[in-house]
Amino acid sequence: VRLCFDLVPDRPEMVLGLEVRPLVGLESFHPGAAIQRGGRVEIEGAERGLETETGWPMELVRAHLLDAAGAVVEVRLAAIYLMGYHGGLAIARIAPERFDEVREAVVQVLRSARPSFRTAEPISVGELFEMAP
Amino acid sequence: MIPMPPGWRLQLLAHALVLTHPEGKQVATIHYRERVRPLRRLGAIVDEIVAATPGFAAERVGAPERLLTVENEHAALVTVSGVQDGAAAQRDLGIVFGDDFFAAVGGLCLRAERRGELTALVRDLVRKDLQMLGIRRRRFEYAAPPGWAPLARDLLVEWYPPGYPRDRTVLRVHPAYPIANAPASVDAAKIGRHVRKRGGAAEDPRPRAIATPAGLRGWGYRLCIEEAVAREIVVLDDARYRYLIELSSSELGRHAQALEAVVASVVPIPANGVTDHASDLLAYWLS
Repeated sequence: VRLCFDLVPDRPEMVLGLEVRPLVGLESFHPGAAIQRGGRVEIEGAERGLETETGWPMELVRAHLLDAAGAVVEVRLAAIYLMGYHGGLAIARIAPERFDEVREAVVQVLRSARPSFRTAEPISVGELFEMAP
Repeated sequence: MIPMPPGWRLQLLAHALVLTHPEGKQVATIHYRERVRPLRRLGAIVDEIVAATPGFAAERVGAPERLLTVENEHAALVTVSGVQDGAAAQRDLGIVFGDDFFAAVGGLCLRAERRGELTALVRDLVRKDLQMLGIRRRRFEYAAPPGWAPLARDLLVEWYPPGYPRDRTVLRVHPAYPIANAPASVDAAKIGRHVRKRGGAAEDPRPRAIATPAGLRGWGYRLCIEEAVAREIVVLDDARYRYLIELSSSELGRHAQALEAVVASVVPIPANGVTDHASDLLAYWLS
C-alpha cells in the first residue's frame, strides 16, 4: 500500500510517500532487504525499544539513499513492527531538505500502526455473506 | 451434489458438471462445482465466477439472499444481470459454504422470459445441495465485537480490542463442539482443578447462569489464571452442540459488556435437515 500524507496543509509541496508492507510471518520477515532496495543505501542509525501508540514493539531505522556521486537524494525512515508472530514494515520516503521539518509528524504516523490480520478467507459465518471482497 | 432437474441434459467436465436446459443451451445452462478452495467471501466468489464467464459482462449485481440447504448448511443466492455476447442475459449464482471450501451452482439464462424460472431452479438446487458434512466441529454465527480485530487460528477466532497489546485483552470464540465429542460436563470444580493442576492459584470459580435470546443455556465462570489477568469462560449448550467463548483480560470488568454482547448474539447451529431427494442422485449413475 502506498499512501500520501499532506503533513503541512499550507505547503502542498510537502508530500510524504509512505509505503506500508503487508504483515508476514516472522520466519520470512526480512525488513533490511526492503529498506535497502532501490539504489545505494546507507543505514544511518536505529532506535530500538520503541512502541506504537497501543504498545506493539517497534524499531525505527534511518537510512540515506545515495546517487552515483554520493549525494543524499532521499531519506528513509523505516518502522519495523513485531506484532505477535508477524512482522510489519512501513517506510517513509522523505526529501532530505524536508526531513527535520517533518520527522516528528512522520514518527507520529508510524506510531499509529495497528495490525490487520484480515485475509481473503472469511473467518466467521457473518463474513461469508459479505459482498465486499 | 445437486439433484438432476427433469429433462435437463448432463455433461461431466473435469472439475464441474454442466446441465443444459431441455430446449437447448440457447435458453439456459447451469454449471456446478463443488469442493472449491480456498473459501472466499460471497462478493469475491461472485466476482470470480462472473469474470470467468466467457463473453459475459455484468451490469448489475443483486443483493444476496441468505439460504439454508436441506442439510442446514449456510448458502446464498446472488442474481447478476448483464450482457452475454451482446444480448441481455442473467446469471444466478448459488453458493453453498463448507468450513474451508464452497460449492457453486451457476445458472446462465439467455431468454428474458425464462429468467424467473431459472432463478427459482437455482435456488431450489442450492437448497437441495448435499454436502453430507454431518455433525462436526464448526463455526457458529455471532456478532463480532465492534472495532475489535480478528485473528483466525483455523476454526478458533481471537478478537483483540483497539488498544491491544497495552490493553491486555483477548476474546476467544471457539468452534462449536458436537455434544457427543465435548467433555461430558463442565463445572466450576472441574475448571478449578484444571487450573490448579496447570500451576494457577484459582479458587473454584463461582458460576453464573446464562440464558441467551436464541434459547441457549449455560454458565459463565470467572477465574484468575495468572497474576493480573482474569478470565471468564462462558459455556452454552443446545441439544447437539456446545459453544465456548472466553475473555482474558487485565481489565475484565471494562470488557464484560463486549463479552455479554457476543454471548447474547450467538445463533445456534441449525438442526440438520432431512433429505428427501437422495434417490435423485441415482440419475448421476444412470445418466
